[in-house]
Amino acid sequence: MIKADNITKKFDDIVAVDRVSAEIKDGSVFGLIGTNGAGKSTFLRMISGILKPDEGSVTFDGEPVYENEEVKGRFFYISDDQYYFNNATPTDMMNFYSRVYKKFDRERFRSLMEKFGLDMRRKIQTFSKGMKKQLSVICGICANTDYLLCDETFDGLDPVMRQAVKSLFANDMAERNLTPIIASHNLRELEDICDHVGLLHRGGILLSRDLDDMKLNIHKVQCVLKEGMTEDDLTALNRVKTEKRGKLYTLTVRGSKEEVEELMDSYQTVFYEMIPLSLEEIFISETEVAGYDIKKLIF
Amino acid sequence: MTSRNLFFNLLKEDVKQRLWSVAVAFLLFFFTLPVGVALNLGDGIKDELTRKNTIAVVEKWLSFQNGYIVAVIILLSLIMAVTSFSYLHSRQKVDFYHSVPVSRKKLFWANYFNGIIIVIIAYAINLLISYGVAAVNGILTSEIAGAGIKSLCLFVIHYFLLYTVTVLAMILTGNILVGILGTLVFEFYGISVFAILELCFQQFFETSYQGSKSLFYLMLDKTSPLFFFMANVEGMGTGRTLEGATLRIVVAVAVTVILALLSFWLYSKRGSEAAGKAMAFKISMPIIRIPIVILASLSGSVFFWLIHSTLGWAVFGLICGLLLSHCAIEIIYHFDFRKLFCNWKQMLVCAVFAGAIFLGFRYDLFGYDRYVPAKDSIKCVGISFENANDWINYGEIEVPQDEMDRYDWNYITSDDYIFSHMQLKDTEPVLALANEAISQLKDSSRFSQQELPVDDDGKNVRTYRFSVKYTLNSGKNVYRTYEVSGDMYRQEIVQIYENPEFRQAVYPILAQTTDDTAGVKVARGGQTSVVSMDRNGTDKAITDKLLLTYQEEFMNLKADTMQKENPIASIQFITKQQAEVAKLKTDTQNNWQYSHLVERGYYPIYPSFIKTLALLKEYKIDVDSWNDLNRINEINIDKLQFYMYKETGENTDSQYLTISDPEEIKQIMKDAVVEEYSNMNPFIGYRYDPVNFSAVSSSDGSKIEIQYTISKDKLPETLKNEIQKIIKEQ
Repeated sequence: MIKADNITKKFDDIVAVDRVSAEIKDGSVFGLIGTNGAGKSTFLRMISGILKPDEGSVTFDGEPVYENEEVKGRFFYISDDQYYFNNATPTDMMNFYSRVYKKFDRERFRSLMEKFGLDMRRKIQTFSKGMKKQLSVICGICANTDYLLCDETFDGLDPVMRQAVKSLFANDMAERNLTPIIASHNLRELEDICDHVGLLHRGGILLSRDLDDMKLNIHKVQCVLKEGMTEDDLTALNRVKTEKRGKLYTLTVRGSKEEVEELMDSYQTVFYEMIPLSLEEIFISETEVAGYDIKKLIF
Repeated sequence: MTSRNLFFNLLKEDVKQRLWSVAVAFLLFFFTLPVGVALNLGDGIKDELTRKNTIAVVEKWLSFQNGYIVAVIILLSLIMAVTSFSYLHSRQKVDFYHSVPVSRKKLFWANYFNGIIIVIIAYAINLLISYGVAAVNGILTSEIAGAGIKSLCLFVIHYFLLYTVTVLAMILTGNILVGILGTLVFEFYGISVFAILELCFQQFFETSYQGSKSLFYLMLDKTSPLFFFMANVEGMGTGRTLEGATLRIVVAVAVTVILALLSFWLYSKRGSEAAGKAMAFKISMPIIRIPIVILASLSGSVFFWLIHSTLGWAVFGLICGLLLSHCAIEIIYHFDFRKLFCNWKQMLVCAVFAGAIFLGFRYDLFGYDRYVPAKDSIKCVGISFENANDWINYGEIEVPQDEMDRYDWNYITSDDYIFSHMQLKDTEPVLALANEAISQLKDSSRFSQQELPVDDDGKNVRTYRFSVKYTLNSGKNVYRTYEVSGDMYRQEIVQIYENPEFRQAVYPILAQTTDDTAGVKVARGGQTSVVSMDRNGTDKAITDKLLLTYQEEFMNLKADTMQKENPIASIQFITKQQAEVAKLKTDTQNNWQYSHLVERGYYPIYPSFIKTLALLKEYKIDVDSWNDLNRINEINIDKLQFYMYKETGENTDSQYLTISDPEEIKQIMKDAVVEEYSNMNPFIGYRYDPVNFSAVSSSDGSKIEIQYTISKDKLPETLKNEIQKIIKEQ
């Protein structure tokens, strides 16, 4: 488990990360969401031991990460702009990584390169941005580390490749309990992969929740009320948001599915239907409760 | 994977990443060493006569004195240090290297040593190829092999030092260009400080000493690794043994180790976020900026003071230096014009500090000029009178070290020789002179246009300039230069001149031994005669006797005598080295190459050197003619010396004013001095308005012409009037 305990990082007068605490459980996918400048990269660079927090600590199973070769051997960090040696080919990078990562899988590297259609002997500097991203993910996967720290890794990948990468993550999670930590400014990218999401804003963490918990506790209901009833009559519902188009109401309500269905039944509506909420909608609701306009923060 | 394997893997990977710098190192050494050796060989090896010379050339080429290798070492130290640690200046690269499971400690040492190993290997391989080139041509001697290995070791030690300085600069900064500027600061800041201070000393302090022991020269190789390297290259040159050469090498190694450990410590403290910033450590920003701004401000004020010696211009210069340097550094630091004056308080502190230093020099606030060590604190003193010893050839013949080398004169300044030999225990006359000079200094207005001091008759009085070395009881040496005007026969000066310790230290002839003396020559009026040459036992006996007699008489020469008489001839005691060179000169029929070596070391013969003159007479030198005024038939005064700025071609009269009246000749000759020896007598009467003339004498049917000089006021009245007429007619 990775534990960030009250970590703070300042760059001159700018507080990039301000007393952030987070716990990342093994075997789950941790999504780190935030706008540009929210502190995602700084947070990840502290997690990966590149930066030393000004305050607080980062530990992997209780072991500090900074200047700790053993701990650093347990993760692979993919930067938003991954560095490759000058004039290097994927083979050169494979050779380098296999020297520094004990469990680097050269066979799998070759196999994945072939599957992704990337030439092992072509100079990386001639690769497109997307191809470089793919290569970085392949390097990260083949390093066979416990954790994979990805900074904006899906940015620049086409939808097909994005799915392919997600499949790779899913496969390794299942096979060897890989824990990907993915930072992104795009909520939609993480929707179908994250188990836990942390929302960073202006260096601080707004919320950190399991996605399932959030999904179980908030619902969207579309309904048509019987004649004479208005939304004000739905007092028992813990409504977060109400929209009305003609006679059709769209309600975002808190509570378990059973509780909400029971209440809707009791109101004897003309029609009601439970609709699944997207991650985006869940976030909007959750952050609005916290007093933030999430649309201004993320979208 | 063990740590050691990882370390070597990192070395290997690093080499792969900077193959271009490896290629540059190899090529530079290739063209400097094997190609250089091959070019030097030429056709010389084919000829048996020039073969030795060729071997010496190759040996020298591979030695520590090869300027091309020096340049290559300096260049490579910069290239290698920059390529070793330039990754620290890129966030992308820092993220990459600092995220992989390799500690910073290993990364640092892998990169650090790679920058050295590459150069050592490139040098060693090319040295071996050079040996191969020499071997193929059949000239690979043990001397050549030894010179190559010795220079490899010495160059590598100094490369380590220069390389580590640039590494330190790279770690302290977050940008390659700023890193290179940082290296320049490390290499040149120290010497710039001492250059400016030296300039201030010269400009503002009347008593500052400007010899080779001056502050700038003393500190030149102590404040800059680059100049330390240069000094060692020069000092460890063939033929010269550098005092404390081993110590200097130990110092180089020790400084390198200290700088390397400091670099490592800073590297471990350096945040990855420093990449791309000008300075990696915020705390280092004022530490670097403030000294530079103070120096620039002081330089500005001194620069404008040198042009116009007014305080207004000095203040203008200070402000210019202050603003330019402060703003330039702030732009480099922040890359932002809006932050030019974000540290304005520090800038003001710099201005105050630079201003205080300037005023300290300008008004001698610390009493530099007034300082004379307390008598009790002085162990001994040395004193050197300016221009008094110009006729003495200080130094020694430099023996060639190899076939291609030549005999040369290893010149030593009079001050250096005197101060290294003189330890006067009788400090009183020197202190009295120094105090008199200081009191005269107080009377004169500093930096005002001073008129030359005059005596009661309105004539300019003689001014003495002299430098003093005070050796204090603490072992410290203090140097000062003074100027004192007034009576030339000051009691203190007489006391100093008559002190045997003073004479021993000033005149090398008094230390010359009979063992080192091979012959004697005398000269007068451009004619030299060999008195004795070390050819047989008889000559050697003459030589020794003459030397000892001359030394006795010269040592006992009183100031009073020197005031009354002047040298009539000069004598040379030929050293064994001079004789060796003279023989070589004769053997090789080379009449010009070594003339300057064999004609050095003539000393004056005064008329009162009765014993010396008697011996010379005994050894068939016509000394009687030297004082026989009756032999002078005529005196010719060249009128050209009285014409100022006028074309001589316009004069239709004779060029010479000829005097042939025996009485008038006697009257003139009474006060005349042989021009050639006039500067050998420190107590010679100061010649106001000197008039030069030639005295022609007849001897055995041949005419001898000797140049004399005399003060115009000593001439007969009729002659004075005639000269006055010539001057007026112009």
